[in-house]
This record gives sequence, structure tokens and C-alpha cells, in this order.
Amino acid sequence: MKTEFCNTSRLTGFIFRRERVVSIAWIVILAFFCLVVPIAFENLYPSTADLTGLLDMLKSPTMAMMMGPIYTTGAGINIGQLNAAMMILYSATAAAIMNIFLVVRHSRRDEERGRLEVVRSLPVGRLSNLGSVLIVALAVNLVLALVLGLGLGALGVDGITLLDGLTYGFAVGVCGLFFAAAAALIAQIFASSKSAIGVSFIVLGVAFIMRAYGDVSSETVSRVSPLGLVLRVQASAGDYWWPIVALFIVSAAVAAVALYLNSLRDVDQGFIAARPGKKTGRIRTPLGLALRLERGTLIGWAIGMFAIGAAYGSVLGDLGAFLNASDIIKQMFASNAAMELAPQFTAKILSMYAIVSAIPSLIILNKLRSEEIRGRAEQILARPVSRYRLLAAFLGIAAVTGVAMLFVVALGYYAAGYSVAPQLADLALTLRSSLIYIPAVLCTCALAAFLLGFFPRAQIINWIYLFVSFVVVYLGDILKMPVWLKRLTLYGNIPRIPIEDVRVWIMIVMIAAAAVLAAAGFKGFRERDLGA
Amino acid sequence: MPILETTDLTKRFGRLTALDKVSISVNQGEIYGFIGPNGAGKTTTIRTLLGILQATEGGASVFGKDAWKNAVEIHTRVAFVPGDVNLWSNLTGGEVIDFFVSLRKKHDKARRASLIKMFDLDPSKKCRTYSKGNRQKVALVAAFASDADLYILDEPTSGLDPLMEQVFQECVGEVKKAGKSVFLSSHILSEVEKLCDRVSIIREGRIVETGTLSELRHLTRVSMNIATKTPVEGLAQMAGVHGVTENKGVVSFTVDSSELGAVVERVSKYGVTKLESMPPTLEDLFMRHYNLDANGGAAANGGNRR
Repeated sequence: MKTEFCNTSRLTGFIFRRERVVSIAWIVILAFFCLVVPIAFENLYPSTADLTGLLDMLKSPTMAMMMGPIYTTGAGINIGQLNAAMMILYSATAAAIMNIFLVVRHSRRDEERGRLEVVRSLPVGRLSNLGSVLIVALAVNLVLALVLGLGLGALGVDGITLLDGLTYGFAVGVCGLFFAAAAALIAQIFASSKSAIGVSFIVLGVAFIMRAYGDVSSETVSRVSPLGLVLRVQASAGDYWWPIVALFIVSAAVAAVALYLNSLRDVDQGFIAARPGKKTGRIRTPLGLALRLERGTLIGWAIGMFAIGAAYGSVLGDLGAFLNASDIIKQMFASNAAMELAPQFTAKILSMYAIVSAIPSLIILNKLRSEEIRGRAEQILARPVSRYRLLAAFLGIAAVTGVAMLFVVALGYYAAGYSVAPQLADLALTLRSSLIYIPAVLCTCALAAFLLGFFPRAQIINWIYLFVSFVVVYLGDILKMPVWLKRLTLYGNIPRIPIEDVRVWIMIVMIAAAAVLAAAGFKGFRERDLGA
Repeated sequence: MPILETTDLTKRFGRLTALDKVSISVNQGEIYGFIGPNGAGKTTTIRTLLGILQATEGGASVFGKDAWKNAVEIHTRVAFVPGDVNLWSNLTGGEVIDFFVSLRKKHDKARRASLIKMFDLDPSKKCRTYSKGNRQKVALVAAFASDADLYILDEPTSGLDPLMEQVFQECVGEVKKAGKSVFLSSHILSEVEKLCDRVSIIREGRIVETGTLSELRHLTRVSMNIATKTPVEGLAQMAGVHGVTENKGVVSFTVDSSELGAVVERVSKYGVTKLESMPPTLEDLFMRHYNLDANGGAAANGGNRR
């Protein structure tokens, strides 16, 4: 046993050294959001009355699906409870993403790139690398839990004691640890880092959807999902630690299985046997190549978006009951009292997933950049293929994908909605609520093309912009963010039909901007040195 | 008219000058060797010729057309093998070859099959699982399966075993027989000696020598081992004789090719019992150019390959 883990501590130190920037950046950014939001809440909702007003809205199925159930101690709600309800789920999801990347980066990807081979040629045990990665993950999550916990506890915000803060922090940390262990396990089964990351994200997606469905319809389903389970700590309300302990034990078991599988297999192999592939190919054009390369992304995202749409659509039935139960709620939720609740719910959900729809588009355009850096674009362009044609292939697929995602999420939403509450489901309206975001999605793609043409190293700007847009659209109302901030995002400018009127000129301006950005992007991509 | 030509080609990356007034020209039907140490600017030159990079100053033209502006048009008649072949990990070698050859109008199915056989490549494996040599084979098959007029090859045999190097040399021979031109960058001198009609040596972004192999050999030295009945007097003082050493009666030295006649004449007077001469190799020439100013900074660091 000892030889299996030989030199683990040195390897751990080495991974820490390679990780120091990325993990610290993740923790700092996560902590920033988690600590700023409760302060903002305190400033925005100074009185108990303000908070109680919110409570009814928070108890709606929409909110339960988006953020999880709300836990309170008495009739009212305090800042801590509001914060826990709004933030734990998303903090835990972010921690999960951080851990998936962390673990796959140092396990399967190092192996795939042949780095592990060099390490293994040294006096290092067979399980040392995976063991070190798991130790690093444990440490990173512990630091994250303590930073969040102590930070929140030190804020002195109403309703967050040190214990409340630590409960929140450790709920997030243990969720991260679970996904680290899960990713380690998945990385043993699949032989490429791409599949390992893909499948890990599918697991995360399933956990999210199970929780969304469970929080409205079934407590058991929610508890099976790790994301649902960590919400059951009821931070600032009950501060139960059993979900943390339970998830920690599960994580340890999953990690043990991962180590066991690692000891069984050969380097570079997975448990899913590689079949011989095609001897000849049918890819004829750059467009065909881009489609083939991104096939997995496209199918995976389409299924995911349909599923998430369906999960939200399935609440329409509960929404009907909820609506009839209370007139006050109806008033609370609707800024326009004449409106029905269902279309509003639809518009709110689809506005959020419109932003998510742009993610696969950005992934596809980023792919072109990595083709360039890795020298593969060079091999295509050394043949009679113009740079315009290459960029057009990727940009075209990105744009069509974004639009298709809007369509698919709406379709999933409608299909599930129709099956539970036919009288509330409206296909035309659902599609319109989603497809109205087409100009914003196109603009996002065009911005990516523009950056690719002129500032190829600055693709991150687009990701940050999209992330900020999500925060503003998601939290803007409840954080009472100024309107101009919303106007700065593409998505905040799109009217949420049917709540708001369609402003045609905004659509026209956005599409024109997209055309100009894209055209400039083509020009820049043609004129610059590749690989720069 | 040359098929490929650069005139005072200069490329700067920020403050680093990667190419400094590089002028080369390749004629129709010629195999042109482009040699130099790592980081000398071979790949940068090729990237400029392919229109991947834009020249800072000077010009690069292929088939009489501007390499940057008319890249696509030029590439209909060019085949390229990169030095560092990176492929799509989730596609098979066969898929990649077919994609590459189908981007060009003229390609030959039977030729593809015979090349795969010659290079002993398994096209059904995912590129992820290929070794460096096998990735190189994929690029070579794709290049030679397409009917091009100019082959630009950037260290095409790196990672290939000697058998496969042989196959590669046969392919180049066939191409030459068909009257096509080849621009071959390499640091494997035996390969260049075997294949190339003319050679340029690049070092730190500058062309230091250009010519046919026999022209360049004037600059090289012949190694000799001799034994004589009586010791040769004043050998070390003769013009063009370098590095005289003696071991068990055998005297070893090198002599400039131009002085060879005089040295042999002198030595023969002392009763030769043994005379061995090693022909000048490109290696010697190459080594001499490396060492020209050994203190003046080693070759620029690592090129711009990722």
C-alpha cells in the first residue's frame, strides 16, 4: 500500500504549485460574490416589512425551481435566510465546476498529454497522482469552506452568526468535494479529458435538474441530488450538519472507488474500450469538420437544454394551484396585475436560459482559437481554404447553435408544461418568449468573432460579459440594481414578452451591431498573423 | 522564373527579429534544402510562404503570386507537411487524411491507399493514440496523395524510423521525377545531402550560405589519415592544413578542399604506406557555421512553435 502512494506528498506540493493561480482566483471570485450579496441585501431591505414582502414571492414554485426551497424559523425571514436561499445553490454549482476542471486537469489531461508518463517514470506510486489530486481538492475545498464561512460570519449581517456562515461555507465546500471525487471516478472510466469533463457536466446537470424538479414536487428526489442535499443544511434557519457529513462520506466512498479503478487500469486506458474507428472519412469541408468536431457539444447541449426546459415546464401544473391559492401572491408576483402568472413565469425562466443558450456558441468559437494555437488551423489554411471560409464555418455553426438552443429550451418547456397543465401551455407564446432573444445571441457570437479578429487573447472578456449579464438579469431585480446596468447587458435590453412590449428598434440596432461586429471580425481575422 | 521566391524577407515579432532579409529562390523541378539549427527561422519562413504570417518587410511569392494576398489561390497547387503535426484527437487518421485531400480538387484514391500501405499506417485509429511518428505519417500521406506542383515540407521526417525515412525519400524522388518542386526544411543533413539540388543555410534569421552542394563543398575540409615511411616535414605549417595529430605512426588532419592537391603532392614524397580520406560532408559545413561566433549568442530561443 505504501509503495502505491510513494512520494504523494511531493506530488501534492507540485500540484499546489501548478494550481496556485487558478484555484486562488476561483476562491477569491466566489468569496467576493458570496460576501457582497448579503451586504447588498442588508442595504436593500433594511426593515422586516421589506423582507416579509419578499417571502411570498420566494415561496413560489418559480423561485423554488431556480434557487431551491426557502427555509425560515418564524413567520418572517431575515437577511441570512434570504441570502442562503438565493446564493447557496449557485455557490455550490460554481464550486462543483471549479472542482471538475481541477481534477480532470491534473488527472486525465496530464495523462493524455503524456506528462504523467514522465512523472510515473520517477519513483512515484501508481496511485500517487490521483491521490495527490484528491488531497489538493480536499484542501482547496476546505479553504473555500473556511473563507466563505468565516467571511460570512464576520460580516455581522442580521441572521448570519459564525455557525450560520460556517454551515453555508461547508455546504458549498462539501458539494465541491463531491464533484471532485465524481470527476476523479469519471476520469478513470473515460479515456479522454474531453469526455471526462463532458460526462462530469452531465452529472452536474442531472443533479441540478433533479433538484429543480424535486424542490417543487418531491423531497426525496432532491435529497438524492448532491445539490439538493446541501440545501437541506438550512443555513441560518436550522444549521443542520447531517447533509454535510452524509455528502462527505459519499464523496470519500466515490474517491475510494476512483482510486481502486485507477489501480486496475493501464496508463492511457479507460474502462470503455476503444473501438477501431473509420478508415475513411466523409468530412469534405471546414464546415463539415467544425460540425464533426462539435457534434458532441451540440447533441449534449441540445439534450441538456431540452431537459432543463422540461424541468421548468413541469411546474406549470403546480403553478396553477399556487396561483389559485392566494390573491396576494398573484399581486406580488405580477408587476402588471392584468397578466396571468404563467406567461410571466415563462418569460422569466426563458430570459435566464436565453443567456445560457449562448454558452455553446462561445464554446464553438473558442474552439477555433484553440485550433489556431495548437497549429491545426495552419494545416487547413495551408490548403486552398480562405480564412473567411474557416471563420464563417465556425461562426455559422455558433450562431445556428445559439438560436437552436433557444428553440430547444422553449420546446422542452412547452412539452412538459403541456403534459401537466394543457390549459396553461401556449406554444406560440413560449416560442416567442424565447426566440425574441435571437438578436442578443447573435450579438454575443458576433462579439466573439470580433475579439477573435482583433484581440484573440481576450476571449475571456466575452465570458465575463455573459456572466455579468446573467447576474444582472438573475439578481438585478432583487438587488435593485440600477436600470442603466441592465441596459448595458445585451440580454437586459430584450423585452420580456409578454410582460413588456416589443421594441422593434432595439432588435434592429442589435442585429445591425451584430453584422458590423462580425464583418469587422472577418476583416481582423484575415489581416492578422495566425497563432499570435 | 522561380517557383518560390523571397526577397529581403523580414519578420519581426515585437522587438524580436525572427527573419532578417532572407532571400531565397527555388526553381521549377528543384529540390531545395533549407537547413539550420532549431529556432533559426525555418518555420517562420515557411509560415510566411504559406500566408499564415504577414511579412514585416520584403516579399514572399509563390508561383509569382504574393504569398499573403493570394494565399488561397497558391494553396490549390501546394502540399504542406508541418514540423509539429497536431491532429484532432477524436478523429481517426483516415478521416483526417480524407478531409485534407478533399479540400483540394485533384486527389487520387488509389494513391492514398498505396501511401497508407507504404507508410504502414493504421488509418482506423483515433489521432489521440498516434505516436509522433504516426501523426507525421498522416500528414505525409495527405500531402503526397494530393497532386501538387510545390511541396513545402517542414522537418518532415522528425519522429520517423529509418525505414520510413527511406519511404519518404522514395516519395520525394517520385515527385521530382514528375517535375515538381520541393522546399525541404531540415536539420538532418544526410537527408538533405541525399535529396537536395541546392541548399540554403539559415542561422539566427539570416541566410549564411546558399548554393549547390558541390559549390558548398569548396568551403569544406577533407579529413585524412596517412602513414609514411619517413615523417612528413612541415605538414602542420602548410596552407589549408588543420588539426594535425599523430597516433601510432598515423597522422590525422583536415585539409581545405582547395589545398588538397598540394598536400597530396607533398605527402607522396615521403613514401606513403597508408592513405585514407573522408569526403567532406555537409555536416562539417554546418558545424563550421554553427561555431562561427560561438560567443555571439546561441541560436535564438526555440522559434515560435507551440
